[in-house]
Amino acid sequence: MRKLEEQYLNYIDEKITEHNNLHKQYKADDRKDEADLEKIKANIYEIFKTLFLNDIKQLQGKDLGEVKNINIYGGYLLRFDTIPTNWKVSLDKAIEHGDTVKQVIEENKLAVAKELKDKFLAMFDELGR
Amino acid sequence: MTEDSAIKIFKCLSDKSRLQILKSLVHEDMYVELLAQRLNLAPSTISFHLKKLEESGAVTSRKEQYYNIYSINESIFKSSILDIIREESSEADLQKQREDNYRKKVIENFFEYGKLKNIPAQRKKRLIVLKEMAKAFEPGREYTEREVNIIIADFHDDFCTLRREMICENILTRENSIYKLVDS
Repeated sequence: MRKLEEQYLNYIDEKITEHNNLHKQYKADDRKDEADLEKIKANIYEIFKTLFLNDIKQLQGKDLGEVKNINIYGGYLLRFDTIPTNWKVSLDKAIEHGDTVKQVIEENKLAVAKELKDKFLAMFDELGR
Repeated sequence: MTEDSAIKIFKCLSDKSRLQILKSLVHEDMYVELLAQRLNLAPSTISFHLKKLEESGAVTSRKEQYYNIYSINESIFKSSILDIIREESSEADLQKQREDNYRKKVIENFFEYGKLKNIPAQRKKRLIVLKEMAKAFEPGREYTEREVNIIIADFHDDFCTLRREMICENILTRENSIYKLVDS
């Protein structure tokens, strides 16, 4: 596995652990709704981890040497456009109808997706070139 | 206070952050950003909790310039827990409450922001959905088929099926191509 992939997966795992720990902490502190929001965030990290593992599996066996071109991760980067599409629609509807509870949930999901994309691009800049 | 309202408020209160919000509001009315600052929580988290508190009737809000100011609903908290426990409901009341809850659940499941997501296959649920849509019609007013279609299309694209269903279920009547809401 390339260094970039390894470090990115480590980062996702750390975030999953962090949010699962917060989930437990909030639950123990009788803050169930905030605990649920942390669980939602952990689940989004899990989703993107699964997708990333699946995408890099497709690259296995190919002699790509060191990663020089971000286009080989084009499939994974595209997921940051496709997966959150419904969340954005849902967020717009929630805002339009003053549904604050749903709004916060969708904003959290979108924030995680954005953070994962930004992190991947930053890591590529640092390690991929 | 009905049993349902009591359960709703108790559920809402069994959260530390919401209790902290109420503890702040008991002293003075506040807006989201100020509560966020005082309780060291994100403004979005505060909004999330305030929405739940407002839905349970624990707080009320009013608009003042750019801010939504939240206040505690004192009347809710003035009733004692013993009064709530003592309050008795007749079997008829309980039955009505169960039916209302079922109706509410069906509406929540099949409608999203006023749009019908899909037409229920089960007749009992379909009837609830049709009656909910019937609220868009004025009692006693006569409608042309086109007008009926436009009203139903606001809920769902398949206005033909739904219009026919409303006739079959005796929610609308049709005579000489003129539609009317059946008095309930």
